Amino acid sequence: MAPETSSGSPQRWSVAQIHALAPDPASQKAGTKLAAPGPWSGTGTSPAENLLWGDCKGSGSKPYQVTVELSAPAFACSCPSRKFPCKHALGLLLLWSAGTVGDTDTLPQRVEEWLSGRRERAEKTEARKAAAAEKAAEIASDPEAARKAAQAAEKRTAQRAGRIDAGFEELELWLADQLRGGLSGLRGAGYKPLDGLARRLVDAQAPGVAARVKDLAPALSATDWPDHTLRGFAQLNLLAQGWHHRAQLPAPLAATVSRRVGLAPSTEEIAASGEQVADRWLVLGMRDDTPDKLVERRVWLRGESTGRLALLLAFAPQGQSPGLALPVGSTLHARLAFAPDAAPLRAIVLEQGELLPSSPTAPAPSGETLEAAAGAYAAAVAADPWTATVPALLESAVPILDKEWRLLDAKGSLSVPLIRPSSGETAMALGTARQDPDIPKSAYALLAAAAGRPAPVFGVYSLAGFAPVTVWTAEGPVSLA
Amino acid sequence: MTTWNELVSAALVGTERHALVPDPALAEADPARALLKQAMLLAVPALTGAPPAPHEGALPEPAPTDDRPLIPSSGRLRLRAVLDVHPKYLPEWLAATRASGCRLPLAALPPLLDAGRNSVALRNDLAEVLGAPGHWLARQNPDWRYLLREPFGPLRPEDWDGPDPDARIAYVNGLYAADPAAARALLQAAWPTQTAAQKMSLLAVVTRHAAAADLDFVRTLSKDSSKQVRDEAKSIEGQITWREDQAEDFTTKIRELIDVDGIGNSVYHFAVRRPEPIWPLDGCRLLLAALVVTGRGGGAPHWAAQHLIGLLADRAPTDLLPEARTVAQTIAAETAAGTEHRLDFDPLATQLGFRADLHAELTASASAAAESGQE
Repeated sequence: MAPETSSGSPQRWSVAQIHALAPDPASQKAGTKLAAPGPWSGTGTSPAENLLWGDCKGSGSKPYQVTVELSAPAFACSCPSRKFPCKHALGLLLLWSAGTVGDTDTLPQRVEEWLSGRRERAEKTEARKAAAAEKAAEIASDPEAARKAAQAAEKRTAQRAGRIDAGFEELELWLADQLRGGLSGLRGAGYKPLDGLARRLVDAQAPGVAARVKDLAPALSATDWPDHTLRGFAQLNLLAQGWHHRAQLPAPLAATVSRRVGLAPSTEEIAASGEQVADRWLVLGMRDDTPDKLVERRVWLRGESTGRLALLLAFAPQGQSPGLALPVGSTLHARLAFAPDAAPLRAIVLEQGELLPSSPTAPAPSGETLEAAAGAYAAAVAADPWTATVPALLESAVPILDKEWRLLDAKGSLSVPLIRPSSGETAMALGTARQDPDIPKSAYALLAAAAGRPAPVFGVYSLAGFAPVTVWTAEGPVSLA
Repeated sequence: MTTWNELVSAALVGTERHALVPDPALAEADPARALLKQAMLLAVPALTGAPPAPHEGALPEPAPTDDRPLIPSSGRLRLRAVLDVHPKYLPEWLAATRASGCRLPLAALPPLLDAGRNSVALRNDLAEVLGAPGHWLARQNPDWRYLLREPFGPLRPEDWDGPDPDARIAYVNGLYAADPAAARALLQAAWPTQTAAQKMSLLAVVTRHAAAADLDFVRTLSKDSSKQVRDEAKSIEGQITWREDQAEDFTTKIRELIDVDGIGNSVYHFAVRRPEPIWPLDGCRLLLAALVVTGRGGGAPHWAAQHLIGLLADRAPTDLLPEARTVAQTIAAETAAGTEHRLDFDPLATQLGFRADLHAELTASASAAAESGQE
């Protein structure tokens, strides 16, 4: 994801953009701490090579040598940290963003060496790719080899489908058994049976189904747990039926079923067959979740001329940046490809152009009513019953305290419960997000940022309520946690 | 037609015990599977959740406007670094921001109001820096009500007899800051008619402003009818006399202690207990020079030495920065040349540098604002 300007020379990144690169909040803090000239020496930047470098004094006797290639971006640091980018790289970027790193034309020797090593590796990768492409072309030109390759692929797909079939059969038996004996029994048994079933579904190569089974566990401790649990059962059974009858389903719905089972299309498949939309995309919001030792980043976009909403997803092991350093409020020229789905939303970036930073003087984006957002959510659930959240930009919303915190659409005088964006998709889908004790924190953050006035609020609509992610204030967009 | 709620109750006890008549249209003989099928059919409405509810009441009261210039973006980044990494510099940052006359973006207010909950020392500056919008926000959250007990704007004597207990305390607080003698006279005259709870909240104000002149008054409270009030008065008396004991001149005392036994227990214990947040520059120079000598000497330096460097980093005036940088550079050069040095002066230079930047960017913005009238 290269935040570049069209002129080719990288414009200095904003603080928000650099913070978005941080692999976790701790690195963000540590990087901010290093964003002072004190520990740095030998810093420089070469606009021609898109490089930034510097030496940072650490606890050891030798300073850490940091190099950042700004267009990729790529990072290198001699520190032992396994975080990526490390706090030294983030500190150096922040220093540069503040304008305290001077331009030079001559690179230090170590940077020259790093650059040439990088070029060599890139050439080797290119050579390997070319060789692989040649081999693929050879196979394609040889009908016998092509037929064999296609056969092998078909066999693999059939094998996996067979395993998933068996997994669903066990799941359906299990669901019926639970309903025969009563859900109270499941609650009494605790997490263990759910975990066991989830593990077997992972073995059956249906990770999406396994995750849904696991998600039933936290719902068992919610106040209206029978409701949540039966809803979860219904969704699982629906997924099983969808899988069995996928051949008869319309193609987008069949694609949705496959994705929910865990057979997500690869980026190559989306790039090749997904619907492509080029537009100027406004970055509406960003949220990081950290399930299962992963950082899961969501970035929501809206096309200026098409009005299309898009969701970009990126993952990274904890301690590494998932990339997608797109600051909220900025505008990105890009061509996206949407994954085929009954309610298309997930997309990948095919070609990326200029990234224009958010301007405090730009007018706030136009939005919709809460009623329209509720309608869009209901339509999405009808099209894809496994939908957890639907993004929406509300025109004019304000938090109110009416026994519980609610988000009020000031124009339509309608309100829904207010929940925290950091509750996570599962808690929102199950409704347990409403029990989050930190809801007032989000509510006060929103109330304060918008000065108690109705303002454009971007967020996600879910069964549990509306989670505000971004609010447009007099001083520009503000992210909420 | 079965409803969702009927399905939930049947599922709860199980179809073995709860006779749910399967819908013949489902063509399913097994009641458990029939229940699952029916749940599936009703799931979509159940997943959509409750529709938005109509709202009858009024909209929330919006924040009042604040005409001060907005703090520059460098100051906002600095606030983030202070809150996240160096919370110990928050009092200094708030005081500098107050002096700059800038306002903060409203989104920055909640974390600052949270910080003020646990630190009474921050509250006076907080009330000024957050201004009218801060008071508006503090009224919305019981956790932040403490801000309403801080003086803000011109003193309003009518608050003393007014209905709002917070405004009453804010008035006494402000009067104590502006005219301590008048505040003392007001308290002494009113004391006999106050309830124990009112006395306690007034004593909280006295604690913050307590000076030698308050001794006579707090000593009369040793016969108060409430034990809580007697205890609190005693603790205030202790604080005043302790502070009196610390009134010696910092620089003179530091010189004396260093002359006697160099960097050691006595210097550390004297320095760490000093009540003033920022020490006099001359005393800091003496300390720095003595620390450099200690680090060069053979053998392990005294345990207090590195702690004293930390204290200097936090409490020396930022004017010490050029000397601290020279020391750090000299020592780095000596270490490179092979001379052993056992103390690390880098944190001193780094943290003084951070504090110096903190002041510089706010001073620059204040003078820019003064020139242009507003940002």
